[in-house]
Amino acid sequence: MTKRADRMSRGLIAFAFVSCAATLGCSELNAPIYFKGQTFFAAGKDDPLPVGGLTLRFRAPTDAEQMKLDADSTARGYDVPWVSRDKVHIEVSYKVTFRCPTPDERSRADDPPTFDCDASMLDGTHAFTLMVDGADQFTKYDTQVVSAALQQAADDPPRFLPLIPVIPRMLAPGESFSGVVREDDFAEGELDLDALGRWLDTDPASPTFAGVLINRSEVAPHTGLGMVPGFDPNNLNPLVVPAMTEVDLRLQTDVPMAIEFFVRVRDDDDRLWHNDSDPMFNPDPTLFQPPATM
Amino acid sequence: MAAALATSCLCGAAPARAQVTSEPSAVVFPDPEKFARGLYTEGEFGGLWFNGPAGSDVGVGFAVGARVGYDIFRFFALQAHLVGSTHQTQGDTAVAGQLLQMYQATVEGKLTLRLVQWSFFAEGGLGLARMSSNLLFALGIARYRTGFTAGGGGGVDYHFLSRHFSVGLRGGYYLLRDVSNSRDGMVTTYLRYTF
Repeated sequence: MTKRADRMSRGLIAFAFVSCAATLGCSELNAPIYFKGQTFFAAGKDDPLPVGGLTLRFRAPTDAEQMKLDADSTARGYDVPWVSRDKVHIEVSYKVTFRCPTPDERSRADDPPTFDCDASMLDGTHAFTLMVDGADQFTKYDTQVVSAALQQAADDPPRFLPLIPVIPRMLAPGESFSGVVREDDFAEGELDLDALGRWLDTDPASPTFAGVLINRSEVAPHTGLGMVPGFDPNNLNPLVVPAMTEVDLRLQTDVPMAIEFFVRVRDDDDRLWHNDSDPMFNPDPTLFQPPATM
Repeated sequence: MAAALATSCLCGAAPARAQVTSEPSAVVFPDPEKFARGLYTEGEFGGLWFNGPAGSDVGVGFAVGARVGYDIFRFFALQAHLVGSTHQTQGDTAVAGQLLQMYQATVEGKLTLRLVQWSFFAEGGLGLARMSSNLLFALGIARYRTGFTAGGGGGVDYHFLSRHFSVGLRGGYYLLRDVSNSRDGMVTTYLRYTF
């Protein structure tokens, strides 16, 4: 073998191995983790709305990480969250079906559906609305609680202001709709939740509640974000926004429907709790109450 | 005149005597003995699909792979194989449309029958298959992200007149034990360089 061929051979072998290693390495860098939520059901015209969801478990910061968080918090003048939006990215995939619960679902051990439902009586086309709420490490938002607080009289129709609303869809009996609540929807909802929980502005000219829920944060005049530290209409990124640690879904519809869902998490810094030996992060978020009832 | 005759008899060439002992052998071109043998690498690309329980939830994907091997004999080689493929989930689930990658690493034996520039081969081996995420676990199909795989296949190879290069087409079929005994099939085309 000539020297040139020898160099070429070594180069090709190295290239093959480096390519393989790089492919594997890249795939591990940002691999999402999926959590299957338990299917839940709407009987139709439910009050309160049926709710399902799950709480994500994170490991507690190490001593070194805690020291860095403390230093960042001191430098910024507010509590920098351990579970932050720039490190933890959430997405929900769901499928809503206009149907009755199956016998298997009725016999499941955990929270089986108990309402009467006759599949032969399902007819017409009906809408459903999916609402996404949740909690970060500081604040919990519950659409049902907020709705009750906003209700002026007992017979007033409920008004729902979820953190992340999903466009209503129509379904015929047996039909399904699959959709995704994307990471950017969660990013917006997480900023709104933090603004409601930690940076609540009661100025009637730019109220955080319900201004941030109705308006997109990046759109002028950035309603309700006036108290956010370092707020700059041209740059909404200086705040370290907490990510959700709990995701709650509510299904509003007039007929029996089932919703299956998965929560997908991209965990950039490996903060989800994997090992039994790691101490768990146990946040205690405060339930948000709208200003009128506080 | 007499002198010329005498010179002709004394200096003329001796009579030729030829003897044919066998048919001349046919020239084989190119001579496979001149093809390089020993350490080789291959790069491949093609398609990979799932059968069995994962078949309804995971679509056909694009596959890229590499092999490094050594021809121990003319007819037998040992090789290491790594292939990665990317797929999209499908079907009637809430997570239809999600991306998923699978990586398979196997150690294989390879038997080859060479016919001048063409060769036909069969290969088989075992190793590990790893999913890029726990998506199949969430769907209830897989137990672990990394699991056992075994299988084999075959193909055809065409050697260029170059001493080192050949190309080929191969197919393979592998069991994925920890993906509910699903199987995956792949068809790839490859370029091989033998050092």
